Amino acid sequence: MVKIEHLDVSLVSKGRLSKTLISDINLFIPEGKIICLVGESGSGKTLTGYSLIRLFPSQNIKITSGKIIYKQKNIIECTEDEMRALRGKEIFMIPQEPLSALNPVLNIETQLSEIFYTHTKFSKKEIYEQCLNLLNLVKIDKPETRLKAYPHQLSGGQRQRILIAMAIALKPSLIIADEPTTALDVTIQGEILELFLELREKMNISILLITHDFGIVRTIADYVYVMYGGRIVEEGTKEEIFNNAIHPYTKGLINAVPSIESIPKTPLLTIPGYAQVSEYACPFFDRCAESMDSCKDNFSYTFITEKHGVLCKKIVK
Amino acid sequence: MQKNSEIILECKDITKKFTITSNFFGKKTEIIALNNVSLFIRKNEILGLVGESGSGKSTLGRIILKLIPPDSGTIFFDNRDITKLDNKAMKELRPQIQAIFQDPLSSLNPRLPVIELLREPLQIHTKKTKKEIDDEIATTLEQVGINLKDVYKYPHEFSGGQRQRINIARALLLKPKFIVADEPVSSLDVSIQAQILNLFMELQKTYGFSMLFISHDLRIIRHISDRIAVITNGEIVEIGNIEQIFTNPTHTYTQKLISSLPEKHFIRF
Repeated sequence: MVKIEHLDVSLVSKGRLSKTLISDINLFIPEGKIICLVGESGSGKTLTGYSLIRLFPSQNIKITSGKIIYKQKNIIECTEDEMRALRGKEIFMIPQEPLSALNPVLNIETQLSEIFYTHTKFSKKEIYEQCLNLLNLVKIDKPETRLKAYPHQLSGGQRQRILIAMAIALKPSLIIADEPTTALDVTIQGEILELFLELREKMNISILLITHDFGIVRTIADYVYVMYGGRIVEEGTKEEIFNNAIHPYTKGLINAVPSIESIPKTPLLTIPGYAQVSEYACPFFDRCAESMDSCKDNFSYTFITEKHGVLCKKIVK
Repeated sequence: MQKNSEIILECKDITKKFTITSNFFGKKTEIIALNNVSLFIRKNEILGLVGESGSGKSTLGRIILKLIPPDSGTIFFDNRDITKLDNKAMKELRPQIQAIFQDPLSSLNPRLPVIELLREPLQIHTKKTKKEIDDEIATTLEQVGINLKDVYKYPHEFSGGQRQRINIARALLLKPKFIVADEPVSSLDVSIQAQILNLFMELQKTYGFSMLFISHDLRIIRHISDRIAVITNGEIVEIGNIEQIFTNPTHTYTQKLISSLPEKHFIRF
């Protein structure tokens, strides 16, 4: 449904390209699937999400090459008006922090109905009913009173639910959720993930979930992309990634989190160093335990099977 | 029960209320942050305190550090009641109880280079010469994995993980018997988290300090702790060793916490 091909996003200052932030991103989001984009801070996962709606945190960040195909249309060539019609209605992005994403001086009803006023021709009464309906869908109790509430009167989990309600309001085909559970407590986190699974089932929405937590990936993902230093370093079905990970970074990330099955008090396997991007062809070169001299030279992304690709010299013959 | 001498720190019936001015007319409401909390920590033991935001876990940590006074209840450290100590007596005790906080940047003075940051506690609490102090800093920095060449850098020049290492070094310099670590890894990236957790486990073996490890992440708590205390709404609902808590949780809240772990679909009991 959405296909990203060879996408480059760069920092451009004074008309000159000064730094490539993400490069050669190839990503495919089929209908009704949950795709997880995993990586640490600075790996470019949020930026990849923003590219899909062409909203960047700074005017100096620009898409420099590549294609984003959505329903046979290249998003990169869309005009600003076309984009405005697309955002919210077809592709919705839930930003990272549920508190700062809501306007503190407007009540929930105003903010929810805004979407309908902008994109539909519903009457006032219809909009109110739609809003109630949405809150029921995302399982907020006492929806009538909650509609009159202001964001600060709601808990973090409830605010996240409101954002999800906004996201599904116009039945978009794709929701991009950027770290949707990071700011939430663990018990709430589980509920939100369950809600995502349910929505996918009921409404056949695709979800691009951006996260750093492999625990979440394990619960919810159909297909996984791992990013490091602005590149996709590995991709595959959930089973492939957890059982046959090849890239040393993916393996490191999976092992770095103590799991419920790990033996307490034993040293965790770690990735040495800190998040830095190597100047060589392999972005992970400086931290990799299995690096060889030949990793410095250019090599290309390789598919081992149809559903498992990796950017690692070990695999290239 | 075990002998008293084994216990380094004991809290008895700690209660803390906060008053907040809630409405426009100044009507006051009380929030009970901690309600009759009792726990003890043995020597050489890591007690993991797990709870969600607003459960009172940080408040308990701060009360133990005597950063805020409890409304009622007593804290025994080394069989001494520290709740009644005045500031002067407390100052003598401070080196033995150290703290590591969540945000590694804001807990370091941005205007001092690392070497000065680390000298400060030793200058205040010991009568060592400058040479002795610097030698000690060098050994500790090596243990926490900070390059000695970097000591004249300022905190902002380090990455998050390195900053937390500096905080750990500063806490360790005074050879504390007890450390309160309040969410020490939650602001770090996953791969760095594991490095810091390993460092904690390693240092605990070398130095043999006791620790109250506060976190919201049950997986981390399970990995690092000897015993786990579960706190919710200001009350400790369950304390036990890891096996007890994970295989046979008695309180419904503990059960809920365990079942909400993302990996739940993969757990087979």
